[in-house]
Amino acid sequence: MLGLVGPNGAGKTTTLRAISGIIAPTRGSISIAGHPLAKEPVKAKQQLAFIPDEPQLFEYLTVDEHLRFIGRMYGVADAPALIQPLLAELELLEKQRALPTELSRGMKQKLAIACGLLHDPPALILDEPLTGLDPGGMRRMRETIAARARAGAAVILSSHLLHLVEELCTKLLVIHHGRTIAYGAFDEIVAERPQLAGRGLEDVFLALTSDQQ
Amino acid sequence: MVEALLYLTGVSIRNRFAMQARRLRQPRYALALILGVGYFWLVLVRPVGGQPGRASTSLWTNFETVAALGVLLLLVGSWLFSGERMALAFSPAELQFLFPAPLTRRALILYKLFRAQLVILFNAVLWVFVLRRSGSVLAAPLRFLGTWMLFTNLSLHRLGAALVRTSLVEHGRAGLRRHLPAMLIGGAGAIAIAFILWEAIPVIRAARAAREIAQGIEAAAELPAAKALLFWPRLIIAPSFAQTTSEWFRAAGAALVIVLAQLIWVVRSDVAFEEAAVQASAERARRIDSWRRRSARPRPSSRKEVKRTIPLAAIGNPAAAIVWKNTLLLMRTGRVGSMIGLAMMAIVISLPTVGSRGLDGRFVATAALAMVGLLIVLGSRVLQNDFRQDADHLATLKTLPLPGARLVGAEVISSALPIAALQLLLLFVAFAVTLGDTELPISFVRRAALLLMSPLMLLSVNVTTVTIQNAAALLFPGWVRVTPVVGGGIEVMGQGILATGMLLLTFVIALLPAIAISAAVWWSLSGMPNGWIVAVVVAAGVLLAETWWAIHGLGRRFEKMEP
Repeated sequence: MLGLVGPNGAGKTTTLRAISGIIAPTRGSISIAGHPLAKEPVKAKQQLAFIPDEPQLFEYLTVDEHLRFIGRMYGVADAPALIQPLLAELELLEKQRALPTELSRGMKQKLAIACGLLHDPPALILDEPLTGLDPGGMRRMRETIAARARAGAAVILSSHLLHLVEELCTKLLVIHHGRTIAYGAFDEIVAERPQLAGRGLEDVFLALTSDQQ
Repeated sequence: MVEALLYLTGVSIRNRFAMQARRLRQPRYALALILGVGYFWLVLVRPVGGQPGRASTSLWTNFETVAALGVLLLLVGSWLFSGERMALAFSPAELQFLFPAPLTRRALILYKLFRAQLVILFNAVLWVFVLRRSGSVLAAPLRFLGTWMLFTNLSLHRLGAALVRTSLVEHGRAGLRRHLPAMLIGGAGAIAIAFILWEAIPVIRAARAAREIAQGIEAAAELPAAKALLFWPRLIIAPSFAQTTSEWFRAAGAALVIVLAQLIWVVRSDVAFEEAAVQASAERARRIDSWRRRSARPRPSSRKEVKRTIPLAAIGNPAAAIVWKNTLLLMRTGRVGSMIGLAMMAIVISLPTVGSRGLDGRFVATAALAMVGLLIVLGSRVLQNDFRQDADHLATLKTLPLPGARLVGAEVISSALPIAALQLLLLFVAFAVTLGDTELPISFVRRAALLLMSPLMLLSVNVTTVTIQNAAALLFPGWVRVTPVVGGGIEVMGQGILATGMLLLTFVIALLPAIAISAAVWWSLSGMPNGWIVAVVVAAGVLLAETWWAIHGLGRRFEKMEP
């Protein structure tokens, strides 16, 4: 599980959107589960789910229909059987027939996450996944993400909640002005900078990004 | 505080015009403005032949009664329909800044009335131009003032009624007692409308022309009870229908008194309208957003509709999921309902003429065929159940594991199929009503053959027109409105005219190869009976091939698009 951190405007969302095939990278190449995104976009996208920071839902589909739509789109044969447990896990069962306009910001976020999880992708890209969730929802979401990672999914998590990144991620990628300024396990990053020894991620992050300014 | 509100209004207007002016530096907006102004000049300003005041006085009089009835409907509607609470709506920024500001409710209401006046004044000017060919002999300033008084009265009444309704919700019986007189007026108006329409229905049913319908309503409105209840609406509209200057001055006095009376009523009603205003404002903001995005608004309050769905197999062509999603959108925005309603209306109207040999059947068939033609030209512009309404979800669409061409194809089909279905229904109506007509220049067998071939023909044509519309949205998003337009003016209308013209031209160009090849085929098969059938099939095939090629190109364009 990779934590992607950086100050505002660093390029986190742009990076995630490029990995998800929403925008094309100006340089380099991206492969998802061995499929180059530029040459085999369909196969590559089949392997991933992107959950944006601002959930963009279809105004006219209910919660349940969003999942059915995604199930069909990704060819999830047992989607009807998976939808109920997923909605229960995300506490959306009561809202399964609701349109997005009837959902709170947090519920919309949960639905976007549910859509991302339905086809059990090997690569999960999350951009500020806890925005709008209540404390209970945040805890369950942390557990859900961790469980997916334990089950073998590669997770890229972008968040300004550094304690979340510290708790969940095994590796960190710190970017600033579109450039990598640190990459590796937290201990490795600190080991390369002895002056940061003994400090938490927040201090390390601030030190790293202030260096660059 | 008044200065602050005036400053807010003045600066907002100035900035809006400044933004529009800056935009004109871009050639596309400058060209659009020229077209928009040209359209306005042609429709509203262009000198017309003939003398003013030559319209039939009797028709004018009859229409005055219909207008009075219309005004009565609007006034009563203010009391009956909950949607009329929109009169209390403010903009999101006004809510955020003015409601917490140290302003009295009365000041807020006065500000609202002031803002309403800006719209009313603009509309009054517009109507002076619109009605200048109506036969009125009045000078333009008098027509303007008459229209201003009419619109102001309607606006004030709508706001007053909304405040009373809010008070009733807030205060229950106490509010009921307080506003009883106003409610009695509203109730009486509702009864009057029902009464007049009931009396007029037999005459309207027997009418053969618009003039006879107006005369029927006129006769019903002459009954004593109706006359009494139409008294007030007649006073409001009287200046607009005055035939002489002296008549206008006499009528204007009464209308102005009503304006003042309603102004006092609205300003003095100290109703706690804030909560209702917040709700109405949120609803208005959503409607404006939907309108700007050119998508119909969903109706989440109707639980019954949300339960209605269509099955989707878990496994199959993923593109079908796009069509499924868009079809659900059609169902939930009432667009399918209106389309089916339109078709059902055509069927109901045509039922008595099925198999007839008279002109009635031909009239219905002609009307149905005209509608089919209209749908060919404008159907794809009106029904945007495709990429154009999905453009807001570009990021989501781009993450879907679907090649661009298949996605674009699915979006195109989502609009083309419903349009074709409606056209087929209309063609069937045209065919059915002329079943017994043996004197038509086209034989029954040929009509039947055309009907059988129409699905292929219509589908190929609709797929072409919808693809052109989607191509415009994908290739020239600045010209086809797929994103919200802020501060739109005449140039936005010009932009629409230009886009429509270019799209029609593209359609004609797309038709040319199909026409040329099919004509060649027809000519080469000139000795073969019913060779035209082969030619039509070839034309449809050429159109579909062109579209297939275009969709693949658009698919590649979609894959390169960035939100």
